[in-house]
Amino acid sequence: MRGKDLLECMEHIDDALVEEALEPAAFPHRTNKITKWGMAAACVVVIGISATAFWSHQNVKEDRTASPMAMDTAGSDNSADSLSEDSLTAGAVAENTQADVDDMGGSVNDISAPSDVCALPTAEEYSGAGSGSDSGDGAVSQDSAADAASGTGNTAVIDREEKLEKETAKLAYTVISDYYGEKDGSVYDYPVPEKGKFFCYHYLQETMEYYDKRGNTTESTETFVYAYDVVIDIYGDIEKEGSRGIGHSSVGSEKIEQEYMRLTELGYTVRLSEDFQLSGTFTKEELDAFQASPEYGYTFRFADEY
Amino acid sequence: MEDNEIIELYWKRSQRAIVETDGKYGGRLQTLSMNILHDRQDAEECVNDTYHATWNTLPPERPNYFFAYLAKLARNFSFGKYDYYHAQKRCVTVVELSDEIENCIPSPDDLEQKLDSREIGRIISEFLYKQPTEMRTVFVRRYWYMDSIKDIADMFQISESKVKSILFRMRNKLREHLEKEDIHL
Repeated sequence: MRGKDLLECMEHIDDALVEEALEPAAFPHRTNKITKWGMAAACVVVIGISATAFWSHQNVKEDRTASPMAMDTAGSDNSADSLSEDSLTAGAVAENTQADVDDMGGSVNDISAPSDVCALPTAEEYSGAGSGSDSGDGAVSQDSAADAASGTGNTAVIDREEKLEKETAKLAYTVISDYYGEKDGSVYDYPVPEKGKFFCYHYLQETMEYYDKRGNTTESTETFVYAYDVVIDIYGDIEKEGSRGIGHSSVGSEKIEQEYMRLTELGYTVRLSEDFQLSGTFTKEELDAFQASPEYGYTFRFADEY
Repeated sequence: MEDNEIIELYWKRSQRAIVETDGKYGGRLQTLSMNILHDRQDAEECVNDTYHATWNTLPPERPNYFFAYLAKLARNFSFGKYDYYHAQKRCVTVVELSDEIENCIPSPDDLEQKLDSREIGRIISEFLYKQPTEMRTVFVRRYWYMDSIKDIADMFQISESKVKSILFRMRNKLREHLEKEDIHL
């Protein structure tokens, strides 16, 4: 059979098919409105997500560029801006500031080798939070609440703002972890501290005095707070005769762990290593007013100071 | 006038039946014939032959689809005249369409016609009913009404390339259908 034969066979197709094709309707142009609007909505969503991602990325970049400046001026303006007076809690501030510090860690070390910046609530703030409630409300929020309750008008508001700035500024520390100058190679012999007493080793003491003086004389460091990374040696009944701390027996380890828990509850920023060496980050004020246990004596030193 | 009324006129042997038929379907029948013969005079003769055959067959026939009935007659007369006049020199359109639809034949080398044309028409109808309306309408317009690609594109308000694409797919499907049915033309 040839094509022409098949073409002629088409004559015998159903009459209904022939009638159907007699007046054919135009093809439905599928301009589906739902599809069209759906695609438009999808485009808007994609643009929105992109814009949000870009905006947040820009914010992170700005934070990174702004953070070193915050260290130089010792003020934490970004943190201060981000704080809501009504919702401010010490924990929240600490987290914000800590995030800033994490972002800029490297650049800080470039500026000042032995120093670092971190966010640390002061011992007083932690004490306040601990004695008050477990909700995490710190000294700042308590002060704010107290001021608000007093209702002293504009003056109170201004005072509260100033206080807020100061409190916020205190939360940004420059952490010193080494002697400020060159060591002269002198060897110092320290006595074992008596129970309930403590003292700082020579280089740590000198460093604290150095930064304390600098803080008092420099205008820009009015609200600038230094903290010191220190190693804490504890002396007690166990190994009383030794020159080292008590953490070299199982009983001593337990006691050190208990002391670590006590210091933590007091609000100090302390750490306990696997070999039961206590260390922590303290401000000068915290060290001066250190709440020693009557069972132990304490020495504070830089990690490389013996 | 409705088809039933025209058919009734044929049954009453009224001369008005042919006038009404020509008024309603004359143009379309002429176009159909023209698509095959490409000659106005021949087309007119074919249409007149169609009216004459209709007059002779109604009654006893009473077609359900009156136009299809007329068009089949006109198409048949047109192909007869085509064969008569163009035995030596074939019409371009018929050659083109023959070549196209030849692709649907599963065994082109098998010249033996094992099925009669009515059976083939039934199988093609069965195939067409399985296809989407738009597709089968395009197919019928092309291979039954013998419309050009351009006319079909204008008729359906689609591009010529789309018409070609539809026809290509339909031909392939028809070939598969015939193969599936184990039909050797």
